[in-house]
Amino acid sequence: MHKAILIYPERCTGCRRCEIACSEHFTDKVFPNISRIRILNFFEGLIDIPLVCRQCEVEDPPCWKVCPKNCFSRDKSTNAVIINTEDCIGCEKCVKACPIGALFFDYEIKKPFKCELCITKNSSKLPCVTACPCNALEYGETPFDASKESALGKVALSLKNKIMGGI
Amino acid sequence: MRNIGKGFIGNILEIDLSSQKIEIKPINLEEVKQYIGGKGYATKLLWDYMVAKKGSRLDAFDENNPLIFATGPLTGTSFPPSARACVVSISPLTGIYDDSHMGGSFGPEMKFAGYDFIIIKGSLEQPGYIWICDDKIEIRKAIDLWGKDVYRTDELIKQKHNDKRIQVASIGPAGENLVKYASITFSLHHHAGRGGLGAVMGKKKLKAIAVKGTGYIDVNNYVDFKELSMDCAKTIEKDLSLATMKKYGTARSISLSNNLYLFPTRNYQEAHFEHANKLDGEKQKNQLWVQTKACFGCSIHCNHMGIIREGVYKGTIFKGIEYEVADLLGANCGVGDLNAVAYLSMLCDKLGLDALSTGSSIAWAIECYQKGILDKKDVDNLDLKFGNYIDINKLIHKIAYRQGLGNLLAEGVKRASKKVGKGSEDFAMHVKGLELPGWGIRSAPSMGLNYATTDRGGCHQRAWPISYDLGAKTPEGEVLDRFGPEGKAKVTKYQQDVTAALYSLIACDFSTGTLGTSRLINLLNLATGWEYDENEFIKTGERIWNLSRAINFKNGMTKNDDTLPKRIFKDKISVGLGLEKNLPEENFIKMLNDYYKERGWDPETGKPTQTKLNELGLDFCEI
Repeated sequence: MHKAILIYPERCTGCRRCEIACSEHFTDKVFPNISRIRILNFFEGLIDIPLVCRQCEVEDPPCWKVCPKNCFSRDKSTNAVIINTEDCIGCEKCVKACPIGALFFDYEIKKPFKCELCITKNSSKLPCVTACPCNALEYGETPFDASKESALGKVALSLKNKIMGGI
Repeated sequence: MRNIGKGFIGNILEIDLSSQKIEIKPINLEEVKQYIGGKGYATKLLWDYMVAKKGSRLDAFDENNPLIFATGPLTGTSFPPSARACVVSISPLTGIYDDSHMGGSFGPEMKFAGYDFIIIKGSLEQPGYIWICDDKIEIRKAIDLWGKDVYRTDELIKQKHNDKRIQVASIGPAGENLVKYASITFSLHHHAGRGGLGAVMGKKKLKAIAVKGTGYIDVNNYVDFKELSMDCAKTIEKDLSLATMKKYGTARSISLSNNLYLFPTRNYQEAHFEHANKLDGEKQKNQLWVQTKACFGCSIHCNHMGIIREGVYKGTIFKGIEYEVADLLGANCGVGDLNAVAYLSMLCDKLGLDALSTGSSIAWAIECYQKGILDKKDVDNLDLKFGNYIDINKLIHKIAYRQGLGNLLAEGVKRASKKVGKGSEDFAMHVKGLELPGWGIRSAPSMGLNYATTDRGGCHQRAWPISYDLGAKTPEGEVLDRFGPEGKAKVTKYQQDVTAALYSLIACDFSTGTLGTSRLINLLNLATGWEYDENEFIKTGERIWNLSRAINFKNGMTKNDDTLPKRIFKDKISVGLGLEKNLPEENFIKMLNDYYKERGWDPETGKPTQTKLNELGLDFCEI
């Protein structure tokens, strides 16, 4: 089984400290628009869901499969799905293919980007996971397969039903 | 788009709804520095508009009244409670200066879009909303949104633009119907509630402002700022006082306040509510709350979402009842049923009403009806009595839509009591038209002095000197007599000045006690590259306080408005310890005179003296 960022939406307060940490990691700025993790809000503020790539365990993840230039590969140490944007033609097919919407597109440079698990040799701590004040994120093992996953709206609905407990 | 870094983006967006002219102007950083940003600089911008009007009064509903959305140099930075922003304008409720603050994500999003300040002038002929996506700014039609509540408006705007991450500021039916205490709702559950700026938006026929920004916020010294900001996060994580704030929100104070006889009850006729413990944070948490929520970047997460599980309002999703709302819609209206207060609180939010002024107006009406000042016909045949939440619910709707009695109450208690007369002015609980919040005065006189002198009328957020009444040492190390007038002026002035500066950063009240002013000043300096010290910081607060005072005099306020409702002077109530107290008027006058002296204001007119204005660099002020 391989590892990725696991989410616990029932604990998420929607504070976006993960977005701040992610964007600062890449730019030294508070810059949510380049964050690889994003919080989406559902049901009048009742539910917040962190949106981040779960590094599908399957051999051909939906994003990878549709790339016409074969830009996708696995990081050797983390097994994360990574994009080599050198050959990327900016067709956005990968962005559209992800069933949970975990790939983003930089319209200025016309390239996609996603969470690639920024673990360095020196640190196994992920900035977003470390920044979360409510343990809504965890770096752990997951059998995740996005193609079998519901869209976030459905995840939110089932969480809402669970919270409401039939009321 | 230009981004100067340094905590500020560097741009002011000015939109004239009448001419549809849209301008992006660079900010004058040297001038901003004199006021820090946020509340302070927005106050200067408002002053400039009034001067441009050449001395005549600026009416809240005059189309020249600017609605100024302001962020500060710390808004949206990585410093933990960085969500705060505010709206500054002339209030339709008080006719004077108003700054109303909110959390959420709207302030940071304004900066991501490229603007530190957004100024809205003029008015539309048909309902519209403003769509801001970076430098693409459009005034769009909102005929389909007009009449919708704030939750639906938020949802529809996000649907229109197919983006869930847009931040929306909107008004509900109350703002559209020009209820004088209509709020502006931000990011669903955050409100610029006090002073009725939602009605200013309604008068401009502006249903909403929707913002999406793709930019960033940068500071002058990233490395040190980041380190200090992480230090703040750690302090917040470990702080014991904030642990209860995280758990119970502001509702943590309900039982405490009630036990200290600070909890206004049944229109300020008492200061202790027999059902207060049913409304407190622990009860809310155990019985109703299901989720914990936070503003942008904040690890205090004082917000909670709950579900009403039984009774007539079963199934309602609501945002946790805040302390002030539990008092004004709960105790002050005699409602001790937790589910009912949760519902009434949600209803005010949804319709776009300030729950504090709403509760106070209803409590005043109930007392009028009980005393026979209003008869059955005057109250639309409602069964108006303290605790009857079914009819209070109906009355809240009537206020939002200005129907029957609601039309009278929509004017606020000052105007309503003036119209009704018959002694009802004596128990219309307001200062300068702004209904009093939920902290009693007779058991904490310095709060009375604060209410009487704050820039926007009866408000607890400009200073909270109650702690000194209750025995906390003053900055000089003194302990004051709780019920006496001695020493109260100095601490009130001190807190008002500090708060005005903090509200220009903009810092959140819930963090400042824990983090301390000096740490916040360090953050300001690291963000901007300025070199503020504590003295200069507090002096700047005083500058802002005097400038808003000048605005108020320009708009017709007089020294006679620095007073309290007669009930506070006349009616004795139990304040615990077996004591019954009023606030004797002579004690109040003594505090007020001390206060003018501390401030360097003319004791005859209450105006800042020219010497004081010159000392503060406000020599351009002519009052």
